[in-house]
Amino acid sequence: MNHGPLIFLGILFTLALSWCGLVFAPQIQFGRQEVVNAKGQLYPPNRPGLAQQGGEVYRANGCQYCHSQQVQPKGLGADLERGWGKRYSVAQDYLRDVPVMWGNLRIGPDLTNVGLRRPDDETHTNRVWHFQHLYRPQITSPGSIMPPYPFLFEKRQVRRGQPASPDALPLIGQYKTELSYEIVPTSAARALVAYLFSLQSDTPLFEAPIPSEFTSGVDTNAPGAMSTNAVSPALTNAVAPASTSPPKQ
Amino acid sequence: MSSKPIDPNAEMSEEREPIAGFATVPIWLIVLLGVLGYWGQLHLDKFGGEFDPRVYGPFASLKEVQKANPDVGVDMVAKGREIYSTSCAPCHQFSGQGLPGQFPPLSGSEWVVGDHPGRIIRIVLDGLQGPIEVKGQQFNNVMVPWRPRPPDVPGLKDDEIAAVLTFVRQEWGNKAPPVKPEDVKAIREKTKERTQQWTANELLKENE
Amino acid sequence: MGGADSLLPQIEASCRIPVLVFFTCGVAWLLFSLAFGLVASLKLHFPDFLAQCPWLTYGRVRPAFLNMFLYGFASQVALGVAIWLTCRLGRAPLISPVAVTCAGLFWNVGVKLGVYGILRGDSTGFSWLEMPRYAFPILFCSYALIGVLTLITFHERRERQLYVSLWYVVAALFWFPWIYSAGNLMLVFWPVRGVVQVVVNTWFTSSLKELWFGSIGVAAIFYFLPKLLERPLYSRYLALYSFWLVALFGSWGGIFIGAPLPKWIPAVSTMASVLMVVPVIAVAMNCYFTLGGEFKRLSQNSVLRFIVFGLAAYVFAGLLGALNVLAPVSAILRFTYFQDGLVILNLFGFFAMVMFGAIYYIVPRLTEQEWPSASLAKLHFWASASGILLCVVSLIAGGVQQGFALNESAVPFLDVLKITLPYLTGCTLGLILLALASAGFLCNLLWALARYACATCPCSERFASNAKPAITGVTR
Repeated sequence: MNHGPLIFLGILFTLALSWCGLVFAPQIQFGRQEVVNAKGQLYPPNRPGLAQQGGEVYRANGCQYCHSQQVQPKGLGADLERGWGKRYSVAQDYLRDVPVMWGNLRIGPDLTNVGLRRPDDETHTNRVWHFQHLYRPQITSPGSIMPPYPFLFEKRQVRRGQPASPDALPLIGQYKTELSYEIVPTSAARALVAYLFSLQSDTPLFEAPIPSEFTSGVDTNAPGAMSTNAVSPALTNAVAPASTSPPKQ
Repeated sequence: MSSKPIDPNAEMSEEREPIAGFATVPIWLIVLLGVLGYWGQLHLDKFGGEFDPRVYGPFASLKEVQKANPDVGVDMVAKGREIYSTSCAPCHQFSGQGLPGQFPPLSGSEWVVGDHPGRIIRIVLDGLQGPIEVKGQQFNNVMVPWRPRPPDVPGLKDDEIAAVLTFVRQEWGNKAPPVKPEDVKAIREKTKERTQQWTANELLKENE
Repeated sequence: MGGADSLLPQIEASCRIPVLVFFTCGVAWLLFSLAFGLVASLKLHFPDFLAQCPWLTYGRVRPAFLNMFLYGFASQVALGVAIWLTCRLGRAPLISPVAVTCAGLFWNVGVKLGVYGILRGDSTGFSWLEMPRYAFPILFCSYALIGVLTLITFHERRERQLYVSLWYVVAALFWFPWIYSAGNLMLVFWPVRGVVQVVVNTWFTSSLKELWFGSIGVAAIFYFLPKLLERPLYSRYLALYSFWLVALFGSWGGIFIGAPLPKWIPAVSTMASVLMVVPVIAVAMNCYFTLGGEFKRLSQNSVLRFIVFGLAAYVFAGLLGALNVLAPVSAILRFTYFQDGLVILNLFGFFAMVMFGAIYYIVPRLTEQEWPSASLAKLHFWASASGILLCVVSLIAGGVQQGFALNESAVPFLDVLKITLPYLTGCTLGLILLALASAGFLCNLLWALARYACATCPCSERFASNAKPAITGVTR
C-alpha cells in the first residue's frame, strides 16, 4: 500500500498543529506585550547598561542551571513562604529579557527577587556579600556547592604606601590573600552584581495582585510596598456627618 | 555460532525483513484515549483560565482576577478618562481644576476623595444645585443630571458612571478607591424617585 | 526472492562508509560528552574542581555535555540508523554516499564549533539549543544534505510496501529540520518577545525528544525486535495508532502548572503529557506480544537485550512523564533532580541503549566481520545498564527528597542541599560506569573498523596468515 502522500500530509499536519497551538497561538496572544504603566512606573523597568551586561555574564556562565528565576503561586511550592517573592511571576516580568532564563533546577535558591532580599544601599554590605559569594561561596554560605568564580576577580599587588582599592574584597581566615595583595572584582563581576541587584519583581500587576497577607491589611498597589503600612491619606478622610461644610483635607 | 565472517547472501533469514501482523487494536486502548481526552477536556475547563492571557495560576477566570484587584486596573481608568473628556471636561476642565467661581475643582476635592462615594454618585446621577463649599471656596451653580431616562435621555450607564468616578478618584494626585458599577446601581435604584437636583446639605446627610 | 536480494551487498556497500562514519564519530562524541558530564557531576561534590578556568566552570560544562550528547552522538547515530533502515527496508542503495559522508563530517565540524562556543561563553541560554548562532548554518546545511539524499533514496525505493519503521524514519527526517530551524530562528536569530521564548524552547525540547529521538528509537525497536526474534511484529494497527498519537501529542509537553504563563498553556501541555500514556502503552503492548513470552532469547542475544532495555526505559519514561505533570506531583518535583533523572532515562536509558543495540547489529553487516570482542560487548551492556539505572534511581530518589524539603519553608536552603548530596554520589558513580562502558564500546568499534580496514586493505595478504578467527556470539 503506497500511502506515501497521505503519510506525508499527516506528518505535516500533526507538527503544524502543535506549532500553531504551542508556538503561534501564544505568540499571537501575548507575543506583542508592551511595557505597562503600573501605578505610575513603567514595568518592567529598563535595566541600566551595567545590569544588562551582567545578564550576559549570567547567561555565559550558565547560572540558570542551578538557579531558577520564577516564583510559583501559593500551593504549588513554598516560594512565597520562603520569602522568594511577594507574588507569583507572570509573563510581564520577563518582557525585556533575552534570553529568558527561568531555570529548571533549584540547586541554588530562586533569584527572581534577590535584588529585594539583598538590596543595594550606601553601606554596600550586600554588594560586598555578592562579591564574596561569587569569589568563594564558602565564605558566605558554608556547605554550599556553588562553584567559585575566581576568574571574575583579579589579584592585584598593593604597592607599598598606597592604600588598598576601595573595592578590594575583605577576606579573612583561610581565604585571605598574601600580604600586599588584594582581590578586586573585574568589570564582569561588577556587571553581574548590578544584574543581581536589578532582579526585582514585586510590583503588583493586574494579572498578579499581591496577596493580602503581604499588604498589612491595607489594599494598596503602591509599588515596592514591602511590609510598611503605606496608607493613602485620602482613605482616612472622614467627612463629618453633621456639618454644612466638610472639614479641611 | 559461526567463526567465519558473515556472508550476507547465504542466510535466508537475513533477507527476510520483518513484517507487521494484523492484530487489532484492543478496544480498551481506544476507550482509554477517549477517557483521557474527556479528562483533559474537564481539566482544560477547570484549569484553562478560559484561555485568557491575563489569567494565571491561582485564578480560575478573568472575573476572579478582576475581583482580586483592589485597583480595578487600567481598563476602568482608561474608560473613565474617555467619558470625562467628553462629558465632564467642558466644565470641570481637563486639568480637573474647574473654573474659579463657576465650576468646582475635582483635583484634591474632599467630596471626590472622601469616604462616601455615594455622594458623588448621587451628584452624577441627579445633578447638583445651590451653594457648595469645595476646598474652601464657595460655588453656586447647576450641574446637569446624567441618569438615563429612556427613551429620550441616554445619560450614563452604571459602569460608565463607575468608570468616570474611578478615573476622577485616581487622577490629578487623587488617591481614592475605585467606584464599582454595583454601587452605582444600588444608589440608582435607591433614588429612582428623585426628580430634582441634590443640594449640598442633603448630600451631607447621606453616609454611604 | 530474486533480483532485489542480490542487491543486498550493493545496498550494504552504498551505505557502509557514511553509516560507519556516523557511528564512529557519534560514539567518540558520546565518550567526550560523558567525560564532560562526569566533570560536571564531580564539580557538584568538589566545587573547587577545575574552577579556575572559566571555560570549565559548571555552568558551561553542563550544557556542553548535553549538546555534545544530543548533536554529537544522538543525532548522528540516529542519522546513521535512519539511513541504514531506509536502504534496508526500501531495498535501495543510498544515493551519493560520498556527499552524505562529507555532510556528516561537516556536521561534526558544526558540533565542534558549537561546543567551543558554549565553553567560550557564547551559549544562547536556551535548553538543548545552547550552541551559538554560528554553529547553526553548518549543522542545518549538513543535515539538509543528508536528509534530502536519504529521502530521495526513500523515494527511489524498490520495496513499495512501507514497513512500520519507515513511517517513523521518514516522519522524523521531515520533522527534524522544521523543529531545529524553528527553534533556532525564533530563539537565537530573531528572538520572540518575553516568555514566548520559553514556550518555543519547550516546544523544541519536547519535539526533539519525542518526534526526533523518540521516532528513530521506536523505529529501531520496531525493526530489530521482530527481526531478531524472527517473528512478525504483533500489530501494524497498534503501530499506526502509536505513530499518529505520538505525532499529535508529542510536541506539546513540558510546561508545568505554575509556570509564569497564562494558565491555559500549562493546562494544555499537561493534558498532552497525560495523553502520551496511550501511545506508550500501545508500543509496549505491541512489543510485549511480539516477544510472545520468549524472554530466554534475551540472555542469548545481546542486541535484543539492548533493545528491550531501551523499550522498558521508553515505557517508564512515558508513564513517569505523565505522572510528573499532574499538579500535586509537579508541585513537589518541579525544580528537583527528578527532572534530570527523567531526561537521563529518556535519552540514555531509551535512546542511547536502543542505538547501541542497532550499532551492534549493523556494524558487523557493514564490515562483514563479527565484533572483535564479545566480552567487551557484554561488559558494555551490563555497565551501561547498571550505570543508567544507578543514575536514574539516584536522581529520582534524590529529587523526591529534595522536593519535599524545598516545599517545607522551615527547612533552610543549605539543608535541602545536604539532603541531596548522597544521591548525587549515586549519580556520579552511575556516570562513571557509563563512561567506562562507552570507552569499552569505542575500543570495540575502533578495533572492528581496524580489522575491517586491514581486511580490505590491498596489503591484507600479508596479514592473512596472522588473522585470528573472529570471536562471535554477539549478534547471533
